[in-house]
Amino acid sequence: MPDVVLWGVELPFLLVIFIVSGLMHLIVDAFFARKGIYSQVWHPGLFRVAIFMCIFSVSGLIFYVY
Amino acid sequence: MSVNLNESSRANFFEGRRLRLLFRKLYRASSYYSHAIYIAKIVLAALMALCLSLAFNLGSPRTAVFCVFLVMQTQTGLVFQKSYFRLLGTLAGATVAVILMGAFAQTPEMFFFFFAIWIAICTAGSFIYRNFQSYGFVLAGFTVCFVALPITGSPENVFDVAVNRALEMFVGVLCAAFVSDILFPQRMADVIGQKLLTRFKEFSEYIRLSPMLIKNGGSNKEALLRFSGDALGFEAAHVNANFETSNLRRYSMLLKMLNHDFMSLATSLHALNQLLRRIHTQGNNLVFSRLITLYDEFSVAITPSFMRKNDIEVVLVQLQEWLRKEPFPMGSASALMDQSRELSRGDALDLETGYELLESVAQDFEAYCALQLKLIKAKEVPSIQGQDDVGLDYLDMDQKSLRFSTRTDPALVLVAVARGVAVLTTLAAFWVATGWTLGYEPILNGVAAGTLFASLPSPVAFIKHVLIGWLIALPIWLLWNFLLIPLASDWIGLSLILIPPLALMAYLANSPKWAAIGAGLYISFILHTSLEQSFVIDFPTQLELFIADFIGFATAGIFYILIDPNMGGWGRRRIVANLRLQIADICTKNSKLSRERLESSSRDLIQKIASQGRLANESDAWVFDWMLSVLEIGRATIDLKVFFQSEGAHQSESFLNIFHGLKSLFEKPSNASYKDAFSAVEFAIDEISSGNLKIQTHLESFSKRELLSRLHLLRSALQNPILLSHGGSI
Repeated sequence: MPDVVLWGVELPFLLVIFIVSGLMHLIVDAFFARKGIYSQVWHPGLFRVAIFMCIFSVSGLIFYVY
Repeated sequence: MSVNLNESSRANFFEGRRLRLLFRKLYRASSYYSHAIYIAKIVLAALMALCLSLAFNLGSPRTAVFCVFLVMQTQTGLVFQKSYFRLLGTLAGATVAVILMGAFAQTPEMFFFFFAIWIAICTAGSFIYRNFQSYGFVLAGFTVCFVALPITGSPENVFDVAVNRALEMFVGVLCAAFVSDILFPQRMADVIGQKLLTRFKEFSEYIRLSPMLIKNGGSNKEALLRFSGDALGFEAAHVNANFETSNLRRYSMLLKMLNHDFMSLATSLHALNQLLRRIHTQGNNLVFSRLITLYDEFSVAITPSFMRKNDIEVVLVQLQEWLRKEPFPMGSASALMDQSRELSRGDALDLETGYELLESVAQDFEAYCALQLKLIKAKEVPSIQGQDDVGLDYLDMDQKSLRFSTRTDPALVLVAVARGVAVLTTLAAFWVATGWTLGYEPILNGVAAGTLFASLPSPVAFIKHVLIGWLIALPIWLLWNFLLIPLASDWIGLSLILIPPLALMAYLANSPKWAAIGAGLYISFILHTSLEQSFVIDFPTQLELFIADFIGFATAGIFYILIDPNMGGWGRRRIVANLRLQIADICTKNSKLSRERLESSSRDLIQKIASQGRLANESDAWVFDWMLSVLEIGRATIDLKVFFQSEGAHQSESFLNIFHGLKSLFEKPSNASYKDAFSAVEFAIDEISSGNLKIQTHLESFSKRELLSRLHLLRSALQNPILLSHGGSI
């Protein structure tokens, strides 16, 4: 993947993916909290991080493998 | 047989005692437990941050370790919130540092000029916002120091340094968040429900004891102040807990409503107690005995017969039953007239006001009870099918009106800004004048200390303790830096060697008594031990740094002493002036009238006093009395104004007089303006009750009653002696 150039600074494309997945995760997180899903899982904190890792790695794989 | 019985009862006795002892042990252990968890969290996160920064080859790993120490809190939500604003502040500060360095690397005067402006903006921001937002602003200010000043000799490096600092911060924050959310989750959400319940119980106890206290002529202002502080603390906790992984967000609206009801109940109750106290000392005994009997009845109605889990349900049922019995003859004005026929006019008004206040307290308490019950039930049922937000049925209420608002005195902001800029310019001048190579070090610490501690109740005492900790740290970091750290051959060894001092400092920083000393210890230790990629051994430079940092802190301390808004009671008088200004605003402006706004911003204004939880001296008590009085009068005034705006009623002459009188009384209190306001209120009462008022045609009998009750309330609140203290005598 090509680097992103922002005002002359080269940034890795993975950073862009990271930020976008972060934003996606915010939406998912708000939805889960409203639906009360966090009270159904054993370790809510771990669950939340795991969900983020899933989103981040899936989108990373999509861009870097295909 | 009897012997057996005795033995079994003795066995029971011992059993009970053993159980009690066990519980006591567990209780004591639990506080150790939370201490231990905190220390484990901080040490683990700090070492993780250190190793990660070393692994990523970041410039100064100490920043990441430092960041962990600053960000770590006992509860996860607080860690998230503080980390979030720390990151935002760092990013803003680093950006500004790059811009300033890019523009003024050749002209130090211009650099310091714009830097001082930036510090001024950030300090002002930190005073206008609360809690961790305020922290973020402070950070945005002094991050510029940390990024730009050490590299004034080589300005081309500024971008790398800025990126490095942001990255180190990020590593520290991530480690702290990971450890406190995943390894040792201590959720605020779990505690909030419990806290609310405790507050409910304490407050009902307070109401229950009130009649007795009034009869004995005592008062419990400290408890009232504590509740006031609670309302602020709860708001902060509620905001912070929103960051956590929990279902708390679902009850958000409910929690807000609960805090709102709590504040309004506290104000009504205070108004009632104040009135009763006045009647007891100056008024008619008959009126007092009638009211206090009713008050006693009310307090019996809210006393649960058993201490059970469903206390609140029982109380609610009892209270509703009592209210259904219609103890208030208000509905029929004639009944009241019968009662008060033999009384003088003033006493009759007192009696009516007492009835109305007691009724509104009972109704407010009923609402508060019902909400508390609803919250408990909502928490017991983890997920309600088809219902997203448990507070949903309150959505018809104007959400914006429930917004917690804050109010800051511009004069106090200016003082803080002046102090921050003064520290910066003094130290910068010192640097330029002496040409000391390490001259930037005092600026870093001086500006940080000079802006960060401004919101503390007594910054001078805090800095004094920090400096003591600073000195105590000297032998410790000498020992570690020159004897122990060189023993480490790898990161694991380094981590093991660092555990004891880090744990000690975390422990001290977490205990309320030693917090400031602990802070001094860890600042000094982390700044002066060598935590870089390659070990540096350079005693003279280290000692020079130590002295430089000491100068910075001491200068900040001196400026806190020199520019102190509390000197001679000036700060207190400003607070009262601002409280009074709120009433003047309500009387003149037509928009933004909301009780919530008044309640929350008044409590916010006295935050410094409320957060201490006790009235330290006369002047604190004076400010607090003013706040209570402003709340009472402000609420009645808001209701009157809202009434005239909504009914489309023309404001009659007598009501305009009231608003005008109140405005001039609260802008410039004097005996004359006091008399004007008071007689305007009495005149309006006479007009309405005799039916002479021109707006009479618009009024149903119900709203006439409402109007009268607000006027009664105003009349009673205006009789508070504090209003005659003119704001000058402290």
